[in-house]
Amino acid sequence: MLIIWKSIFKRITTWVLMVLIPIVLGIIIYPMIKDTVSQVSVPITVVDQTDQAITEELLKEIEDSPFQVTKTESLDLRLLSTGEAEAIFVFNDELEANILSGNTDKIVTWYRTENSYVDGLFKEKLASAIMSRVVRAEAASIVSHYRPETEWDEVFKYGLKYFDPRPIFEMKFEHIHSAQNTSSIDSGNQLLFIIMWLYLSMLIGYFTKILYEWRTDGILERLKLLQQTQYYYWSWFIGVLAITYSFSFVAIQLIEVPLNNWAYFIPFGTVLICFLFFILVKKKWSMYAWLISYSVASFIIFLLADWQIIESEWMYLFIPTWLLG
Amino acid sequence: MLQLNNVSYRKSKSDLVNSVSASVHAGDRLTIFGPNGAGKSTLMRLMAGIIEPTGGTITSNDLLKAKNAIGYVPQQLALFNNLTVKEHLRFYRKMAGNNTENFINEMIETLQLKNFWNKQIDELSGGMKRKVNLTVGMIQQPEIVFLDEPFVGVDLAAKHDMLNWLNQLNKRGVTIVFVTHDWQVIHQLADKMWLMESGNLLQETTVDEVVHNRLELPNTSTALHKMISFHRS
Repeated sequence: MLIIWKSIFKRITTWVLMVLIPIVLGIIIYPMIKDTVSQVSVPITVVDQTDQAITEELLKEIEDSPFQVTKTESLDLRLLSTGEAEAIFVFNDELEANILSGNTDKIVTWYRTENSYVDGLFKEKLASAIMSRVVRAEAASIVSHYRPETEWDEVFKYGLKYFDPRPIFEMKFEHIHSAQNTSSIDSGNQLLFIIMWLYLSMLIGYFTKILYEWRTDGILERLKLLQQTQYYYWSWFIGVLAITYSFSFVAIQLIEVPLNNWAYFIPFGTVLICFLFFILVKKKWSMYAWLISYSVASFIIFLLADWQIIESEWMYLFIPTWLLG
Repeated sequence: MLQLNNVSYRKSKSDLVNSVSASVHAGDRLTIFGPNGAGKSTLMRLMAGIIEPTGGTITSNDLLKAKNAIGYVPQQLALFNNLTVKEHLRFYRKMAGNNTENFINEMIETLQLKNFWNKQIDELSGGMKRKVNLTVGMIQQPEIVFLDEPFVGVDLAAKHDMLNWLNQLNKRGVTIVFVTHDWQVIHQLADKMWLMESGNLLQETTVDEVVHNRLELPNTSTALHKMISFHRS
């Protein structure tokens, strides 16, 4: 039966589908989606005309996604209109001195537009970092005033203890099934997964098309007469399964989606449904119409299910949703 | 050898073969003749065991019950376009499983396939493809062979080789059943004729009777009348 596969691998279309398209997906689509996801960050500009040490200290403390902070020495409001900055924060020239003296009046000027939505979180983080220093400086000044033998710096550092939330909050993350759950898969990986599945169904559809051609040409009848078994169907099925699982294995390594037990049956289910189309649908083009309709419906249902817009037993008729099961 | 008792085949609410009773004897050279859509190919596929009748029974003798006793050459070129002649013969010989090395070599020699041994099917002419189709259909050295329009698109030289080979086999006892519209082939390869129309077997006759105007067909079979009259004229 290997010769049957040899005849398949002698077709140029097979190599286009099995080599060229995965390369295109791997080189172009994969990085594009990954980059798009990683580039979902909020551009913030911080202006410090005197390049103070405390600026670096504050930015280091609040350095975290989704913010992409750029530090400059001059104010350029055009950045807001061009969208290069979601908001601009201008630090007072005497920022450090003001913080240490407990003066919080107009030490930061905040520029934003009507299109700025998520810069508020950066403002909160910055305010928190400044206020922790102001409070500690205030506390250190009071202690130094009443107990002159104590070091101001020592008290200032000691105050950090009361801004560290760890002793107060103990965080435990547990996966709990509930309607309140947010998306179970990272949005970029979710998109990559469904693209991978669409590719796999296209590949299996191509192999099913070959089976149709063999049926139309009378090859299957000839094999049936000679062999008097259905072994050639098994050969096709096992061969396609092996190819599908190999591709799935590589794709899963790249995509890093969390897998449940049902996810391992997705390639099997996809091959099985194409084979059922072959058995039930007599014409090749009708099979294509069914397969394309099913794939598009699966794509939509998968996304809706992952966003918890639908949650029902019938959605598992669409194979990709087994990943969420 | 093969006995058909009220054999019917019904698909999508239409009778493709309607209550056919007849028998095929060992060594027969039989052609099934009739207009398009008469049910000739379906009847042959039923006899070859490719499809099961929806009514009636087909009984065969012990000789035909053995594996590989039935050869079938379909109307379509049931070949893998991108495999060579050599690959086809090796693959199907292996599938057939019996030792028919000498028979295959004889076929290759008679049908002059040797020169095209390493050519892919899509590189061959229509006639050569038909020859390969015939060879593959008979690779298991069958007792009976069913041929569905085996000479379509075949030039005279190739047709001569194929007819010659089939007649050689018949002389050795191989039963030949075929469907064709080609009177030249009928004259050279058939003795018996089954006349079919609209799924019904109208008459079992001989080529001689049909050619020499000794046949009386029912008036309802207009298409058959035309086909036979056209040949006589």
